[in-house]
Amino acid sequence: MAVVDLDGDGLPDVLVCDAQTNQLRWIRQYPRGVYPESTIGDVMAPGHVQAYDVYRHGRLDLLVASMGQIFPNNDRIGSVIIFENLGNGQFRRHVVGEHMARVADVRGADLLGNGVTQLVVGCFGYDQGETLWMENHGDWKFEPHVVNTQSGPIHTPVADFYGDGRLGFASLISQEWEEIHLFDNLGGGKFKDTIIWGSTNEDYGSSGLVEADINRDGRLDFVYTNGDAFDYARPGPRPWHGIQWIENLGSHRWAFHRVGDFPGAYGPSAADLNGDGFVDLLAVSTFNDWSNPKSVSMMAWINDGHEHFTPVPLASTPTHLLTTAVADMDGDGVPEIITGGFHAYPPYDRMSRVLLWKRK
Amino acid sequence: MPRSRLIALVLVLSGLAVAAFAWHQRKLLQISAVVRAAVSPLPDLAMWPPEYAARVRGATAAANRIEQPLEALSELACLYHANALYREAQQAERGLHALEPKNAQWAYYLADTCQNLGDMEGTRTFLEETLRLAPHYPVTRLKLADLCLKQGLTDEAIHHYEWRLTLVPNDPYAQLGLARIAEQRGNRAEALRLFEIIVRTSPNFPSAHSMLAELYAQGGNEARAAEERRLGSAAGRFIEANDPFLYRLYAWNFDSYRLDAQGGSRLQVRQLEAALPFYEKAARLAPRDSLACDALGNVYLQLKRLDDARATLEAGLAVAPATPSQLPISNSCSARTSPEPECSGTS
Repeated sequence: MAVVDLDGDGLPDVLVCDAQTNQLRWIRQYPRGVYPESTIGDVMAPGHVQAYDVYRHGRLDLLVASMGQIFPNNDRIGSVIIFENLGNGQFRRHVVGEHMARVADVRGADLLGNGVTQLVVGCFGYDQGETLWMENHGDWKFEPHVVNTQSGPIHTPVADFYGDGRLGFASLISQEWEEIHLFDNLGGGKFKDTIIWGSTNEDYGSSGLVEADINRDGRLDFVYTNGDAFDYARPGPRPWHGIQWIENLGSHRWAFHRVGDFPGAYGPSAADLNGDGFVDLLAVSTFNDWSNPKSVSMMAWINDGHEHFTPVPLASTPTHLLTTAVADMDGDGVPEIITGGFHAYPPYDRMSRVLLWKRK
Repeated sequence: MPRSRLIALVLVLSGLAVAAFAWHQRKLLQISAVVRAAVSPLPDLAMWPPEYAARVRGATAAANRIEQPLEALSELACLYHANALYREAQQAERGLHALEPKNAQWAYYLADTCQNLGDMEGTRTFLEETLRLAPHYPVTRLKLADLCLKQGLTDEAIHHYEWRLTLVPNDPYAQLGLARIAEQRGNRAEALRLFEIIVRTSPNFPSAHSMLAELYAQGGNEARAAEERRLGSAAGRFIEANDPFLYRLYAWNFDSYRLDAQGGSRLQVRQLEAALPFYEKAARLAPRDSLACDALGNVYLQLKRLDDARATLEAGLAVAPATPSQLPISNSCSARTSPEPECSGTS
């Protein structure tokens, strides 16, 4: 899910990867407060969408990771799809990579510093998978370059993490590895692979990684959730599930801070939720104990300005929430939360698809 | 012996006995105080099997009595640790480590609880303590190596991996770590060499096949990549290295998820007999859990114990008649365990 003003009308819209209908959907806000929904195009098991102007034509194209199938599968059924924005709500579909290990993430970035968009791609796969970047040869033709051969990449955020003017990227690698890798841009298409944190618990359940400057020191940190239980015989919470802040100390040093426990944690976001000027954290739960009606499905951690976080349960229903976004949807200066549900296992009694949450 | 000397001797002996008793009592009180501090308040046991709840309550009560508190605390630590109640386990294990500082098992369990609670510094501290107490326990080296690798301390990781290889020659886990470091450092040829050694010496180690497949694919050798992908998938899922300290905890396991996971990891590598006790215990602890019946029935089926499979799957169906996966399997067991019809004709 992503929030972006796709049609440039000044109103934020919501892009939704719908793995049930195998479609990329557009919940367009127009007029303010009204949200009709339409289909942008077909994508098998879409896992991630990013709006990015690939050829700088002034319109946001849509980069979509297609897993081929959401549930475990080792076949090379993933693909990278770009919906070229033709304007007036029209899109042209380009498959720029196919027969790949299941693709969980794709991001656009000027990795070579020459004004040309390259792609960063996380191929989750299953037994095999990889993290790679794709070199743009023009006319929607891209050539893959593998930078890491471990299966299980989930998210691949891109940013100038070290303030050297070059875009690097991270890869959150799950499966038996449970590691966060950072690929430092050495220039000329070369990247140095460094593990900035990893768990030795091979069952840690990495589930989400976003970049944000949590402590306002000008360096981008990471917010990281672990709460995955997708391929267990008994999906459910584990005692180590939770949320953490990986602090960027500068000079290629990082510090791990456990923020709190949260069973089944997924979909981290970072935003000032209470308007006090400090960056708070947000996550949802896909795999909490839903037999207990009090189990929390959405939780915030409020920052006191010194990065001491107080957990605040926000909701217990609906259950099985997978993803979040935070944005001021109605333009009143107060952020709203948008959540996406994923109901792949019982109970099926408190379900949702895409929800808009307003602060009381 | 003069009477006065006799009296003096008796007095001295009596004094010594009183002092010994007092020392013993004081020691017991000291132990008891440490043990009491190490016993956490009872967690919510409502959702646990009655047998587990009873044992936790019993061990908690025993640890608060003055007789044999160590044994009770040890039981409590194992009950908590084996069932993933890590905060309670950690409290008990800290007490045990203070009372038995030379027992490597408690240091190792503390490292494991720290790991499971996401405390990497604590993990490292207690792994190093374990190494000091039991330098030849091989998995400590591996865990330290993996921890260093995941903290970006690759030189230290290499040191520990190489030590591990002196303790366990051809160990695929250590070789995997060394190969990953070589790859991370851009030394593709060395990585390739090490992965090829692993798949030759440990052909059932899936991660090496998978990563070798990726390297072959990068090198343009799609045929070998495809073969390694096939072998990697056939080898099943990654399982952790042999760890006798942690294996001891299985006897205290009452958590159906962990029983499933432990049984499942053995099934993945076709160790059916080894997997069976975990599934049997899960089904015994939760006789009304159709998933547990389903899983156990399937293991029996693979072991060709068709009568047991049928009975177990039918028990699952009785609990949850709508469970779709059990019905055809149960029917197939019935068909296969029915007497063969006698041949009445002639050919």
